Amino acid sequence: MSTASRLCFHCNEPIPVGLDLSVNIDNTIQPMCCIGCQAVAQTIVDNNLTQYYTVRTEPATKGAELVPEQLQKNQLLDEAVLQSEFIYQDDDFKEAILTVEGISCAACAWLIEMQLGKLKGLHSISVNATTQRATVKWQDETIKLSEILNTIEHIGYQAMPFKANEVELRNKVQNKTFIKRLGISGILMMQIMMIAIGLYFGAFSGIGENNKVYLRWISFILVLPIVSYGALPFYIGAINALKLKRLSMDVPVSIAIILAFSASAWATITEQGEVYFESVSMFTFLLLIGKFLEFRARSHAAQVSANLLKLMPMTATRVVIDESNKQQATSNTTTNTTNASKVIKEELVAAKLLMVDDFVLIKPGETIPADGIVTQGYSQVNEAMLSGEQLPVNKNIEDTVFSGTINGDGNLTVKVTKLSNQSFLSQLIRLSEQSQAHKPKLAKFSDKVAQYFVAIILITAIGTALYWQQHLPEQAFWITLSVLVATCPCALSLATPTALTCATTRLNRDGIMIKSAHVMETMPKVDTFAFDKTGTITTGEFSINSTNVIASEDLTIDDVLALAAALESHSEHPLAKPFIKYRDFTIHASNVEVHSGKGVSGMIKGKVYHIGKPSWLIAELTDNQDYLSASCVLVCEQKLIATFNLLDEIRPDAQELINNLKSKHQVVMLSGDSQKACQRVAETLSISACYGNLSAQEKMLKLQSIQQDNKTVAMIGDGVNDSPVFGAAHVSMAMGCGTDIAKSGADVILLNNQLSSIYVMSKVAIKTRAIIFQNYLWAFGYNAIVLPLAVSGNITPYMAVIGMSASSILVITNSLRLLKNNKKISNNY
Amino acid sequence: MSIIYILIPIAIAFTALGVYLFFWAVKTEQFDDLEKQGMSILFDDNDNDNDKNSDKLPVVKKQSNK
Repeated sequence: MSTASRLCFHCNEPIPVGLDLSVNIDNTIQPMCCIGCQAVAQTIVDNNLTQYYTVRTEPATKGAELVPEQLQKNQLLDEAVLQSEFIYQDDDFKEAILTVEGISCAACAWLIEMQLGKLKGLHSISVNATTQRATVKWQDETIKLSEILNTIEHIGYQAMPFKANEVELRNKVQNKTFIKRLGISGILMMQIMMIAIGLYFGAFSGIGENNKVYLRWISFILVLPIVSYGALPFYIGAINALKLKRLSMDVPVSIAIILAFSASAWATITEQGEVYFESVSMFTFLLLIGKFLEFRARSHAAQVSANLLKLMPMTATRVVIDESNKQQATSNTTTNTTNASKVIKEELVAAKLLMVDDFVLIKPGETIPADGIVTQGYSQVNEAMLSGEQLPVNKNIEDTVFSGTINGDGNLTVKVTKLSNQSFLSQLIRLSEQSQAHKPKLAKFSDKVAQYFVAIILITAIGTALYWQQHLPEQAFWITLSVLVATCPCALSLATPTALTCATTRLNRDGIMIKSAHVMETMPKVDTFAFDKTGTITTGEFSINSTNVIASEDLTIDDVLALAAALESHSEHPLAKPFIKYRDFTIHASNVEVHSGKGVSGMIKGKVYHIGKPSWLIAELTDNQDYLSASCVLVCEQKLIATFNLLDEIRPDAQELINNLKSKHQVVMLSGDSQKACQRVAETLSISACYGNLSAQEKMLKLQSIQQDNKTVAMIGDGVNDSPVFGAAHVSMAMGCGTDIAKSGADVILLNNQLSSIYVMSKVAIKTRAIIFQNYLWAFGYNAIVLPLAVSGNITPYMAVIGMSASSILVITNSLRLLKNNKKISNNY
Repeated sequence: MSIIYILIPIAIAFTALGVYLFFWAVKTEQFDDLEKQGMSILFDDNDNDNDKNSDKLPVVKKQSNK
């Protein structure tokens, strides 16, 4: 049986050769690619939900094996103290929003709803496939939240509790009112248009005066909800702008709506002149669509990026030390080493609940849950996210460790010294919030246009009124009014939002999430790009740059690397990781010992090998002092056989990006890592300005000093230490793999983790600016054509409507060109 | 043409009803997830075909080393 070509029925991935797993789905034996998929498919079959497979439009995500630890961590979420953060409590029910990973189509939503619907005690569940969220309501006495989460996990999705932030809650309410306004404007606009057609025919072929007055009154009634309710956002925007003594596009829009409506109403009541009800309603409706689409694109990006921020509480293993010894242990930390045996209990708790003077045990690879002092053990801690320093820092007894950093290869017992809201991490967060509040802003182009526009219209209208007052006083008012209606800034106010919406949507497709509205306008003005080093320009990992074989024996480079890999596979140290890919599974090391902070030793084929720091190994071999500069050496039976040079691994697309940017922009590197390490990366990429050893605050100050020279700066980073500088930069971009805090503070998130996206974004922004410019050109062109007609008193209501809608459609079509995935932009790079 | 004095008010009454229904749909969150609502017609509400139950017993085959 040829299994290689078969695809998994559940997730559509190829099935590994030799694996034969299957599930009977609707009387057909279907192949599965892994135990995870099999378990998920089996659960679906057992629950009679096989309809999912017939209706789905996308394959499911690969089923993961359930990890007992994860399920155990879910139980922590049942604690009331933690739940208070994300739960709404009714009388009998609790309600929470969950983000669900792995929803690929609407059938997934159905599957989750059906599966959970069977649970006892669950009041309601509603899954939103578009936002990948679920709202659950349950009775806490009958069912626990962890059981609900586990049930979702059993059918192959990962659910996490989620707390919508205020912006999002506001967006949700706003979204609903927007749809209502759009709906009412749309429905009524159609009615008004219908009646307007009757009036147009009447204008040509004659209409009874009674009928005409009647139709006008009907239009007047129908247009009332549009101008009062539908157009309300424009009035509010205009008033807000005027309060700040500025002019925004909302101001001429509001003037046009109000004037055209009141004049038409006047014409209806006094039974003279022309009515422009259909213009007013269409104008409002089109502008609302523009505004709504722009709002939706932005709130969608905000939603997707909010989904990235996991609310999985950080957990800690608290060690309860026998009370009698605790007193002693807290009073003198050094004696605690001897007290280790008195540990009576280990428990998993949420990091938030840790108190000062609690003891926590941190295992290798775990995140440190609180600021504290090491009381026992020795390890190396990766503090890259806080300091930008790539190499792990040695932590001995009495050393301070920080919450959020990651433990290396040793076990640590830490005494908590600060509550979680006073930790170094939360101080950094506060600093970044402060700097966000003072974010530099560039004036919006559309607002500048609005100023000139209002001025031109008002001057023309006054001029027209004065002229006709002299020549045809009884018609002066109506002609002046037609000037104001005909020059409604419809296409003009659609010019920017439609282009921005299309550009944002286009970039979203490429995994570039634009969170702030100003990004597309600011990007083309950016002349300086500032990069963080660790995790941004580099991947945050090491790679082997060069291997030197010294031994006279006939060892090839591959042999040496395989030997090194056999030893290093036992170490968690970042410098050990690049060796793993050279692993040859026929070579095994025995008696392996990991010397924390030094290296690894072990027996391979009867010989003792050491690999590690030159200063550790070469000190014993006095004749090889020359090799002290290597990053890592391999020693066999006291004899040096190879040296390795390890370098920060630079992202593959970094060089091209820097080269592309350098032609027109200044490129700066701001890093918390040592100046030497920064210099090395900067030289490889030929970045001229490079500043190392910067703390989070110094980074911010450095950036502000660059801005003093009238530079517009974009900052690209990933760590917590970049979040204050994000607030100071004109545009900030976070890597998708970066920390949550950096992502929530950034204007843009590069979900695809590709530096090349920056270049794509810059290109699209420049193109967007060109499109906006064309849109304005046409909008002004239209007004320039129609203005003389209006001034000379030759415009009629139907001409105004046709001209307005035609120019709006032209502008929208032009903006839609941005949606095309321009191959030139992507390939050029 | 006096018929329009009756027909247009009737049309407006229908429009008002439409607007009311539209607001109700927005209020009950029917516009929140357009994808799911579109698909819902494809699913049976009650998936209890008891006659087929005996065949639906899970069959799991597992062989290793092929």
